[in-house]
Amino acid sequence: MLDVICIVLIIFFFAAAAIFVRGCARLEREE
Amino acid sequence: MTASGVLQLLLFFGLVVLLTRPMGSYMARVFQGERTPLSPALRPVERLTYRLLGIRETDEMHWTTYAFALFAFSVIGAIFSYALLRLQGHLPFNPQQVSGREMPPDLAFDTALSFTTNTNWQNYAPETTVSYFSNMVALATQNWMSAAAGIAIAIAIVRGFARHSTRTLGNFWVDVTRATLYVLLPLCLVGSLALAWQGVPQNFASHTRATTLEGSTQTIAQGPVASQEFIKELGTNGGGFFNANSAHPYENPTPLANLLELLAIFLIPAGLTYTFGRMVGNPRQGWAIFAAMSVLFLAGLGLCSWAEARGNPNVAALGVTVHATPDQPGGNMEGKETRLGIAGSALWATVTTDASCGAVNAMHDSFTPLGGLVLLANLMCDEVAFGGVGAGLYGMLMYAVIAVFLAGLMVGRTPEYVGKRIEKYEVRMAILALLILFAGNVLWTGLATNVAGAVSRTANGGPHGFSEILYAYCSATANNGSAFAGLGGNTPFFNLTLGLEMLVGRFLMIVPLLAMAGSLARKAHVPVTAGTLATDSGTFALLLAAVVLLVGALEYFPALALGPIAEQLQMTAGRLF
Repeated sequence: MLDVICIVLIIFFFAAAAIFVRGCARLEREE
Repeated sequence: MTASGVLQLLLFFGLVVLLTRPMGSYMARVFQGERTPLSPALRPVERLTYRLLGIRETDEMHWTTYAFALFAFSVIGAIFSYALLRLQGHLPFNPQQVSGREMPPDLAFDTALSFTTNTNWQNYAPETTVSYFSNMVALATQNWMSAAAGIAIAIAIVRGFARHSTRTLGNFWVDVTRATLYVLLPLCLVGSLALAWQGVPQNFASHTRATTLEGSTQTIAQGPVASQEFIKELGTNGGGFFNANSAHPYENPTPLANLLELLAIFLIPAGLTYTFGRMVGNPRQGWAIFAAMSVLFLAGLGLCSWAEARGNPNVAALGVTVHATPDQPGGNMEGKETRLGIAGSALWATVTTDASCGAVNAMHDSFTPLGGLVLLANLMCDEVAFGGVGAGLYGMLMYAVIAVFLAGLMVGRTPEYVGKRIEKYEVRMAILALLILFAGNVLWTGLATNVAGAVSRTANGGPHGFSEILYAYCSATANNGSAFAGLGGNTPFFNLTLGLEMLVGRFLMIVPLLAMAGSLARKAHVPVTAGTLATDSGTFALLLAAVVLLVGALEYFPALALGPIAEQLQMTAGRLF
């Protein structure tokens, strides 16, 4: 169970980082 | 400091200066797709790699695609390493019979992320926790991959400055392949053989049991050390094969091995400054960055060496000789190898925290408060004095954008850097990257110092205990990996929070800098005019170094005041921690 949580946490971080990429790109387009 | 100590420092830095241009020039040729002396042997391998992986060499990527490719590469690497560490009890090359229970989920999480992010923070004793298979496949592979990814990101960001009127920054897979094949592979091959020649073991033997002269039994760890040792330094990874890291005679057996390992740490980061100059069409721009890095490195080295050579005045007050004599090195020798002495330890500690290496040949926890302050400050300034492979250059370019912005504010002109107009978006992205690192350090440290279970894991009380926690998070954020070794970090709290902070320090810093580079690449080249700030001059190098120190001081002075500064003041008043 803890293994699953650890792997999900890693994936979750990279998903959040991908959203951050999109946010920076949107800011670029707006400017 | 002794004359031999000064000679060591001069020899090391002289060699770094001499190697910067050939190394940088070679890497510029590699990443611009030009022919190199190794091309006849490696180009067929490179082509085969592209064919097997379905990579089209000529495909170019927008900065967002480049970032997503980095994420895909890293998330697969992290999960792969995690799985291998958890399953190591069932895998081969395990003569010491590690069962797998030594690496519980939270420790495997911390370790896998640590090696994926080029940090190599180790909350475990490698000799008893990690099998040879895990060392080679889960950890050393990440040493290579994370280093190659760091170089690739730096090259993509340099292209943002070098190119004009384009939306692309290169191809991540091509850059990683070239960094691995042309830069890391040949250097590691030669370097690992050189270390094996110097006495570093390279075998699959089980640990040796020996009987000492006193009659007790000693277990002597073995393993494939040389192949992991050189990439550990060259890739500025830092994770030791042994718990004592480069203080262990099997990792660092001779003065020549010590020098080779030190040079390996700075070789690529220093060379990349020249690569930058070559790629933007003006090598003097690269030398200006090199000069700024050198000023920061030499200032830190001078202060750290002086503090360690001076030692602890409370020890001197007891009548103990603390100055160097023909029989002993003097100064603060606690936590240092006698064979390395003050100069060798202070030099390594400064180099390893200036670069994001984290390999140690002395215990940073035992440095004097001022010596420890230098190491902490290096981490807090985001390790831009040469820095990690790739990370040092793109960190310094972040500061360069802030420096020209501040200079522009002072003289009332639109800032420009290497022929690119620096506007609101680029400055925002540079500041965002800076603040992400700062926020991670202070928020996690603040949380940890208020969690009783975390505070109880420090070996010392007072300001020194605070420094141990602060150092841990600064080290994780900066992807350094060295520790104030007094902190017992192998708890679920530290494993989880340090693991997450390593991810933040690595990837959330890279995103805004790639965005900045993507924006710069789209811009047209601006011709130099009489009003352009010369960024290829010594004046700019000094300005850049001053900005790094100023920003670092503004961010971290309160934290330093609570830690090493308070400890230094109390030490002079006779109170030790």
